[in-house]
Amino acid sequence: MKRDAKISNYQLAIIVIGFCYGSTSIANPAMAAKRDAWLSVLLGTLGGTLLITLYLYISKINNGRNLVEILEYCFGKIGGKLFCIVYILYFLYLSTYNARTFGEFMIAVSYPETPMIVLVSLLIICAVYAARSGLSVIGKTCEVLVPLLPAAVMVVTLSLLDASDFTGFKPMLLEVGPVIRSSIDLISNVYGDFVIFIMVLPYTTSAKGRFKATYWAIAVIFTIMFTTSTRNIQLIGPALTDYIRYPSHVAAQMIPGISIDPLVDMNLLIGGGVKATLCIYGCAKITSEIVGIENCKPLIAAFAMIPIVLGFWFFPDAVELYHWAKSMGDATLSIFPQLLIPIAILIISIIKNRKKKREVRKTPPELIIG
Amino acid sequence: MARKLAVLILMAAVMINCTGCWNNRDLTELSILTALGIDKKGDKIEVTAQIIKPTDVSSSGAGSAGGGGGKKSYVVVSHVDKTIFAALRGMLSKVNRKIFYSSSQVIVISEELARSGVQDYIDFILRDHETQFKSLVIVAKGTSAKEIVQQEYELSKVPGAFIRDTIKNSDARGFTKEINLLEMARELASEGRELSIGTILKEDKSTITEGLAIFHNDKLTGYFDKYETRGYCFITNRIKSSIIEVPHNEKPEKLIGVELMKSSAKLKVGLSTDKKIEITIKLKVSGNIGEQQAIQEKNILDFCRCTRENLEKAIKKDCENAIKKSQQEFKSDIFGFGMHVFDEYPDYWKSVSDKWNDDIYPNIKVKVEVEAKILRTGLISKNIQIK
Repeated sequence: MKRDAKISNYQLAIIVIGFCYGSTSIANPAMAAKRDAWLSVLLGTLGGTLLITLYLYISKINNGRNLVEILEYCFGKIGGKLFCIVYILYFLYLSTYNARTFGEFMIAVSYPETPMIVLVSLLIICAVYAARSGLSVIGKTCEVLVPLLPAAVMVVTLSLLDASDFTGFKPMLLEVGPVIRSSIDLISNVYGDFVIFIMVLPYTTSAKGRFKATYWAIAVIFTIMFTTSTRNIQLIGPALTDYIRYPSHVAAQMIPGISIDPLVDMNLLIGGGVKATLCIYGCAKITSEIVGIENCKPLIAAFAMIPIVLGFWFFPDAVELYHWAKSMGDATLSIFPQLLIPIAILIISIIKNRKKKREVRKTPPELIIG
Repeated sequence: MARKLAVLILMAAVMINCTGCWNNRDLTELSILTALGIDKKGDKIEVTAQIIKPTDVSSSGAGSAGGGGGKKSYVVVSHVDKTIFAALRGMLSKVNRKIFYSSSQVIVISEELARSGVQDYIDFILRDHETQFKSLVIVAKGTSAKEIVQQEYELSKVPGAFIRDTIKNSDARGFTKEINLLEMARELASEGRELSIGTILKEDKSTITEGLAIFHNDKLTGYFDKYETRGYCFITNRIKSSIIEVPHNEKPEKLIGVELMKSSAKLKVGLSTDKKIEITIKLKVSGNIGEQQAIQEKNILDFCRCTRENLEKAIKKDCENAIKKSQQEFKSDIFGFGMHVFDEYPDYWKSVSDKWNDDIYPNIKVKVEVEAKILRTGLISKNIQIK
């Protein structure tokens, strides 16, 4: 299935970096492992790479089909549409959670009296604009904005080299439970969300470079997360990780002489924006395909309203949000769309492809030509 | 037409939304806080705020650090209430502008409050989004925090910045500890390390920033003098420079001032067969001879060797006195030896963590080894001999 290429593989990598980093820029799930946070990042990235390889492979063996077409191919017209609805709901949840976290962070650290709806709406307005403009605009915007993420992390980390205290790392692996738990959280929060890219992958310039571009993106995300989590542990110590809600913000605040905490806020705005944009785009695109609307643009604004409303419904106050973030709720909820459905897709796709190949072999050559 | 109208509405909406944050306050509407003092008043708290009068500071053209004299460029306001937050809010009955906490340079805790425990009082400062984690903390020794915050300095129009700078000068002296709010919270929350905060004392017309307040859990138990504080700074790698006075080898009543250029401490923890912790601290220091009172009769090599040995003894004495006092008098592991024990022997630590400060720490054996180097002797080779 040949499609018009909309983004290059480089742009794909850049979008992946912005998308995955969006969830960790303020509250890195690995921090729950305290002194072993770096190990948690490592394990999480290894698991995440496997999961992302699964998604990439699904896209590869389905020969240019997007998520909707793959689901319909594997589960039939009706079954496929039902699973499409599952993904629409899941992406709506992702954008809701993301936008709400963004709003909560902004209110907690900078704008305590600004109504939440204004902050969330501003993020969503930007996301709608980008999503309506299509994949190529998202790609180009990311090319400009996403490189700022590692740059900001580097500035904060280098400025704090002097203030580091290395007593917080030993002894290693005193408790295995939190490390495993936060690794799973990391896989589900950061890498598992890559499932949305099955919708985007067919629109890249070449199928060959997709694996390479994505692995490069994972390497960059790993470096950023590893750097921020080790830096934060050095700075605030393992004992305070339970108490401090936004370690990266505190880290930026600790830079002597100047106040550059807005750099961290900027990270969230870029990362969170990319994530919200893609989720809304994904929802609109899937819906337009299952109901047979050619252009998904009109649906984008409608889908964008939902996270704003859902955010207040799901998480009426900050305590509910923090409780959800600390529980394994997100990981549990994600198992179905991130792991179980893709595994089912993989198995069914392999079986169907083999069947097809066998049928092709059995068919006499003249019939094929004919 | 409808499209144009929609664009106009959207533009208007964006303009309304982008006017800035809701609680946007102009600088002229704020009271800039530079120092915060917290005292205990019976079962209530007295919060003292040092607020800058921006016009007076800028008219001197002095900025934050210089240009004293003339009329006061700050006002001091106090308020008593049950919580710090309420006391700060209560100040608005005495000050017309909202107080801006982010600019607070230093937080002064009174001795009385520190003795009763700081846990209840640190929470607000950590929780509030306006306070800064990098604000320095200091304990007012033998006086109230209000008196320190009220103190006027001839060298500076902004006393808060003046106190901050004198604390930061500990880099060059090693006689006090620079600790910010985040480090304070970290020391309070960490197992195997007790809290210690630098102290400030009141003099006639000024203050002295010297010494260390030792805490057990969150309560002040006593103080280190400036030399013991220097010993603490040596062991915890907090010292960058200092002047160490060592006796002259031949004439002990005469002194040699050695300027410390570099110091690094390494800590090794051992567990003996009878389950006793042994800690070895290896200190490597190097310095220059900056002042010499007596006439040098030996050749320069012998003189440097003797000075080096005396320097090693002086540093060792500072460190050992500090350790001994923390073990015997205060029973408080401010050096964080417990953290190193936890690093090396986590299982052993689990079995002793509850009784570490009271039973184990006072009896552990700590060995201090100092290796000193004299690098240079300055611009003159020896003391001038008067003919």
